[in-house]
Amino acid sequence: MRSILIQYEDSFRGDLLLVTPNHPLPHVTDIQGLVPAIPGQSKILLQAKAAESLQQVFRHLHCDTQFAAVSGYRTQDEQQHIWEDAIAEKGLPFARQFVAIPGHSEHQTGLAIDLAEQKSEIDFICPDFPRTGIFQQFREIAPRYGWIERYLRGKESVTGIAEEPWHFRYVGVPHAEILSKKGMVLEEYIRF
Amino acid sequence: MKETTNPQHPFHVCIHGITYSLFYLPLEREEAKQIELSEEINDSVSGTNEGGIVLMLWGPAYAE
Repeated sequence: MRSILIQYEDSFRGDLLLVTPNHPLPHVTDIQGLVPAIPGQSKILLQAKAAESLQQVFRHLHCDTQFAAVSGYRTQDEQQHIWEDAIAEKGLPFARQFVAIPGHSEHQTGLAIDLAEQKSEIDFICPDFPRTGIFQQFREIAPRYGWIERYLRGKESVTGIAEEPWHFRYVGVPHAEILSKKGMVLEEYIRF
Repeated sequence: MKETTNPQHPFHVCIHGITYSLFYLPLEREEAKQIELSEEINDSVSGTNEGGIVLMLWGPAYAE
């Protein structure tokens, strides 16, 4: 026999962590081993396990050149700037719909990424990630490697976030496949 | 998981031939819990930021 010790602080770290408008990023959360999400795109970082699993999805699809990593790990300061820029450029209602309040963004965990179709011009806040072709194949394969499309149409009342076809979250294996097969979002998975 | 599972009644799911047992374990402030496991059982713990953790167990003891 062996024993494992689970402490209160453990409830604030891990792949299933909820970070939402009602769940601020815990101050004890470990952000470990940030690495480039896509080799050659060194400014977009993820936790190493999330980056490795993302590469596995691309290898499965035999393609990564059609994908652009738009945003990965963000510091509190970066999230603050994005929030303020969104308000300045598009107004508070838009910011509230598509940008998380600083301290409440999944991007601050290093487990979330915004992806886009590779184009000459990419919208930073609402990137285009089509529901067709290789991009839809990505959505279908991603849960096998621990990734879910996080904010789904029809689940806005649960997540508190508008549909974001470009935002993916690493929750690990097999949780992502269970979520996908049950048609649940992370909030529902934890609470059912 | 939070509403339907406990250590006596885990949620069982089979993915790619591996059976996983999952349950939610609430934790109070300053609380620690020690869990005894067989050497043959693998474990994974993740916090939820909702006052507890999800414990997942798998291995030969759970094989179908």
